Amino acid sequence: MTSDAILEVEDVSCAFGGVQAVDHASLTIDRGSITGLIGPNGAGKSTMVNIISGHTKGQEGRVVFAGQETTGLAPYQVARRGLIRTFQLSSEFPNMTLLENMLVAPRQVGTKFWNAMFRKSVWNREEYALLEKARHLLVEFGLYKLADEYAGNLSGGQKRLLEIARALMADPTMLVLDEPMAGVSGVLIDRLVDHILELNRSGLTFLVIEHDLEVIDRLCENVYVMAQGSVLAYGPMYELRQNESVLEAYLD
Amino acid sequence: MTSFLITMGIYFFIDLILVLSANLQLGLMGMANLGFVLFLGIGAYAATIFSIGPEPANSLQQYFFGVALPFPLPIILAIICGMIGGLLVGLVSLYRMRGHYLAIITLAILTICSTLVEGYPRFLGGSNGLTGIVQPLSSLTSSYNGYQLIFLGLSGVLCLAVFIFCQRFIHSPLGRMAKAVRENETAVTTLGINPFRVRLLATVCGGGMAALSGALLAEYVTAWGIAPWSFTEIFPATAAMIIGGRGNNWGVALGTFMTYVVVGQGLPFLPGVSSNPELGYAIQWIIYGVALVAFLWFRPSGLLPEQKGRWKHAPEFVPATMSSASDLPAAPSVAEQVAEEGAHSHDQ
Ligand SMILES: Nc1ncnc2c1ncn2[C@@H]1O[C@H](COP(=O)(O)OP(=O)(O)O)[C@@H](O)[C@H]1O
Ligand SMILES: [Mg+2]
Repeated sequence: MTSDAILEVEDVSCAFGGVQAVDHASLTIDRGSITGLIGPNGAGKSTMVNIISGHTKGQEGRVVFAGQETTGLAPYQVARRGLIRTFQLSSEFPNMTLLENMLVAPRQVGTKFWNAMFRKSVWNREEYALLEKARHLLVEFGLYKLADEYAGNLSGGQKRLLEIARALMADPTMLVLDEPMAGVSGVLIDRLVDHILELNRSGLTFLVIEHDLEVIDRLCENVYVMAQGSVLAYGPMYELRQNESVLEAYLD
Repeated sequence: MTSFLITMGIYFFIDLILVLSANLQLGLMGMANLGFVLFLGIGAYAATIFSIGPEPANSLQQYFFGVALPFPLPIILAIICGMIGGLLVGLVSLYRMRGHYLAIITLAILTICSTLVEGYPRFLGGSNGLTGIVQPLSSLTSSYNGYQLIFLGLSGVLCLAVFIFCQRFIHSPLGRMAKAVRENETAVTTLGINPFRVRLLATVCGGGMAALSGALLAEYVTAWGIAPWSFTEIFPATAAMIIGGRGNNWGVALGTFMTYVVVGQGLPFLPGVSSNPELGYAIQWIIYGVALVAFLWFRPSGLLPEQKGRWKHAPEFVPATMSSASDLPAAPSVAEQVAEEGAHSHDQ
């Protein structure tokens, strides 16, 4: 058991008009763990992820990632610190090939204007190194045969795989997955679970939001339960299954 | 006839620079930034006042400022003015506005500027415009045909430079990033990309390119005013881009040729049209409109669609040799993968 926290969310709140989507919620994610986040629809899970990644500004509270406060940072600034998230709706770049999708993620010298225009020799070497890495990852995720296909032509499950592979190109230290299994069928679910476990073994921290409790069981040591914007409980699944308030929230 | 072909060539180069500017913003980045016509005018007015010389006392035309700078300074200053204009418009509009709103605000800025110019004749000649713009390099020859050739060469070289610029932009990691911003702005932010910076960059570059087009246009025609500086110019440029293929510079060149040269310059050759310019004008607009709708409906990616990313050695890739070099789990062999893909092919 590791005890140092990589992500601390302290007492955040966020309201949309009259809807209190997140209501004084706190989370602590241990470095190197796979932590689950479950709760009924509308519990505020996605809003919580948005607050963590900077896509939504919370009205109260603070977020600390890797020892530094990230409250109020723009999403791209949070991402550059190594926290990459995926979205509940798959968010591939449909009119770009899988390889192009992959190569958008890493920071490259060739995205600087001057380098792009006048110093191809400088960015080209890096480009080919990253291309190699991208192909490698596509093989691992079983997408290599489709490398030059437009991402918009993939099936729902393949898009989820691509999204995670693309996130890995950015060399994250933590991945936050918002319902990664939504729209994914049986075989691919197993494959995604295996990938997440493997990546975790190599040191990546995960926060996984998921409806499918069986998947949560296979992945997570500890799980947060949210309902109506608040964190109800935290612990291993087998304990949560005995917890009165958790059962009640799910029965609502 | 030769003279006519040369004139057509010059217009092709000038128009292509403008359509490439539109393509960088609308085609590559999907920004509904209609300001390229604004920057066309900024470039034209800038090239004018930096070449025309001080306002003569007894002249009919009035302007607030004028100097006679030698070639190529008026063109360079025009590009800089266009880039500054692009920066300002970008800062004002891009920070919060997208889609329709961006289109409307850029149109509004264009209308405000042309209304200002029209309303203050002392500023930039008002609705009469400015004439007597000094042509670049005109001291080199006194013959009309000779100068036509010089201008053809000048506009051709500048157009080629802009084309190469756009090719490098689009086919670089920067261009890929720009495309991704177009495809999904929210997803791009979670990969550490600041979409605002990319958009602003495209607006500044596009502003400079459109201004160059305007500067050449004013210097070729030797006159400029609010009449040619109209938002209607948006349509042929957009039609050229969509017919040719947005996001593809070669497509844009083809589209420019089709719309501006074949339709724009070819129509007067039709029987009945040469004696009735109004008719030609009407037919031209009908063709632009119909072609635009038809392409958006049947072939939205244009004649030459955007290219997929390609890399030189896309070779036999042997994953097994690489797995040890990485901290990632061992890769399945390609054979395994092919079998597996077969098993998955039904899963939609
Ligand atoms: N952008 C938004 N505008 C208004 N209400 C929102 C917005 N995002 C989420 N909500 C509301 O906040 C609540 C929590 O939503 P969400 O975080 O998506 O829940 P979950 O992901 O747990 O299903 C819901 O009631 C939802 O309707
Ligand atoms: Mg959700």
